[in-house]
Amino acid sequence: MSEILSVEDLGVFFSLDQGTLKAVDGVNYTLEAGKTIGIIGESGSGKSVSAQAIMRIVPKPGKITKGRILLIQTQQEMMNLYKMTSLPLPGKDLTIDLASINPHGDLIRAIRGKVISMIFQEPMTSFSPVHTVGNQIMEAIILHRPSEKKQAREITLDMLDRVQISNPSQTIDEYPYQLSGGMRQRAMIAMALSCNPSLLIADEPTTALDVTVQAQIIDLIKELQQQYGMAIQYITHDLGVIAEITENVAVMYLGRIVESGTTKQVLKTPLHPYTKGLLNSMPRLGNMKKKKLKAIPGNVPIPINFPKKCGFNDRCSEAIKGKCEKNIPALVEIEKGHKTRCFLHSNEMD
Amino acid sequence: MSTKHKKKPVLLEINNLKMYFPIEKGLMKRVTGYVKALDGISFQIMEGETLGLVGESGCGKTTLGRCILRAMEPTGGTVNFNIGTKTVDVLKLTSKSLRKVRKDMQMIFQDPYSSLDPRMTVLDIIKEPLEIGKLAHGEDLKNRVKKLMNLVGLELKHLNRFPNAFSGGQRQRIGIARAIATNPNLIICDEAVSALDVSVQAQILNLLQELQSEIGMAYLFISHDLSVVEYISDRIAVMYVGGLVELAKSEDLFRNPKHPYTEALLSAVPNPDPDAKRSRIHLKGEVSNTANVPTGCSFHPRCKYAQQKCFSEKPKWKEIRQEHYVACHFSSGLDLKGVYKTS
Repeated sequence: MSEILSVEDLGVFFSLDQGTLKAVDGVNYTLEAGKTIGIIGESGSGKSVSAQAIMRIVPKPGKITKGRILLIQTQQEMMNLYKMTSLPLPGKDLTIDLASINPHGDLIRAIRGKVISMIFQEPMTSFSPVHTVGNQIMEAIILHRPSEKKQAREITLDMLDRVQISNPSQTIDEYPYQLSGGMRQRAMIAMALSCNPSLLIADEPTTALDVTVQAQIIDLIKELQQQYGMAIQYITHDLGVIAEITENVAVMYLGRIVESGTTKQVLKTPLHPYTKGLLNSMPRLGNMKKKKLKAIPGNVPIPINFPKKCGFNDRCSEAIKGKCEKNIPALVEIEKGHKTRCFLHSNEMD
Repeated sequence: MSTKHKKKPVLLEINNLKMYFPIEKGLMKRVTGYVKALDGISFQIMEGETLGLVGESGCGKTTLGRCILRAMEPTGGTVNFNIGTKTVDVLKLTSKSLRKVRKDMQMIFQDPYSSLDPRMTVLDIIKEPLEIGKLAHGEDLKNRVKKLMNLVGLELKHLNRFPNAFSGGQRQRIGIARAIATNPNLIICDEAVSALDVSVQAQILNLLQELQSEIGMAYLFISHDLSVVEYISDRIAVMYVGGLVELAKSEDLFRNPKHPYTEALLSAVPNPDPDAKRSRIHLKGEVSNTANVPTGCSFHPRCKYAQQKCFSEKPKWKEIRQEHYVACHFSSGLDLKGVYKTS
């Protein structure tokens, strides 16, 4: 049960001309070594922005306006980290609040790629098109593992082999455009894991890939997790992937977590109307009874100047008149480990 | 449901369709080979049915959709379209006749953002095909557009707005209104819901089904998402590297696949049931390149059932049981796993 990251009441707001866009508004979750948490959400849920907040790469004019992102380390890990910076060691403290450190400073740069790594949906846009795949992976190794600079190429070849690229010595000198989508994604995983991070954030890494390639990539990620013992935050809208590789899951809607629990609890006994709506609106393979898809009516609202009410109220078939459109429900534990933010289950307000 | 068991008339018959792109090298642009995007495809689409077309990147499914509409010029083959009592080969029509036939076949595109002209209002976009086809004028035209807006679930007050005012799902509805404006007999949906959020996807799938019940057009539903295809299709065709490998009724394909590629594809789809036992078939290697198609059966380098014959002889497209077609030398002897639990 070793916690690596604790997100506490995180808020990320964007100041726009039309008003304040509250992309993330009070999000809490933790990540443990060797375990995978799935974050389910659609456009506008805040799932990607919260991941960006952890890495401190939220685009302008976004700002972290509240909360903490606590990175928990061992004494040795802390020493190794601070060695890379010009900052003094923070005494006996074993946590770093990522939300409060300088987003352009030495410390976050030492953390990115070394302690926390991220892989994105579009490998073509995350790689530099003018550098070889090998050079990009070696750059990370040289930066974060300076004592092994001389072995950078060897380490890179080994990583490419571990991600099941068939010909590492050829691929290492190729440019991203020369690789297929699946190979690029593997190369990105190689780059992300090259410095043995404690936490991997995967933002829809297989959405753009064919189903057979997706299957290979998610099997690979699971295998590497067993080898390296890292915590994984896997962002996706694909419930099949969630069911296959996550132990815990959080469902996000309009900047808040509306349900969380073990994957089994949330997928088999969903509590929140949005979660139920999502599950009912997805065609399932092997749908023998040809049950009609129950779509959630309407669209996700834009969280600018959003009135004080449950974010899902306008689309909810079970909304309680007079209550749900006037107050925001609190995230409450309903059964052990299974929480939801809904007045149908608890009267607590935020 | 019972009408689906009656034999439907053939709407479209495609025979030996080929699309080869020459690969040119050097200053003199010497042709050194061909990308065989479509390598002899034959199948039929029945009136009012939804035929799903699945396959992975590079298999040629989008190219197939475009060739049927003649948005690109195929290298060979025929596309026989039955309109009323006449049958025309779309590929042999003059541009004047093609223009007339085009109102009977339309397309819905994947990207709701690039498929609508940002400088045209919703009214302009939807009335354009009616104007080109000279199907309505003046007040009648406007009324028809309003009726279409209602059919696809858009509000009339949106008629004078531009695409950038709408969400992905709403834009897709505009694209659908445009596609059904001329009352086509066939609509090709090229990954029509792939770019949409899950909850919006369900809305659009339901809409497509409702429209089909009302208007009666056939759909060729191209997608890489097997769950979506199974839900919406009556029959499904599976493509691999420019060719068809299997074609069957939805339930038959998923319960009893007869091609090893179909089996592998089905086993790759992640199961949303956390308790389900997982036994995935791992395909070795990468998908073959249509510029360098393997000899014999194009799937043999990755097929775990491959035998000597598969390396040298291309399998024939055969109807192995009623309405179930497959291109495989050994399919009758194989016991392949489908998606439904056998117990």
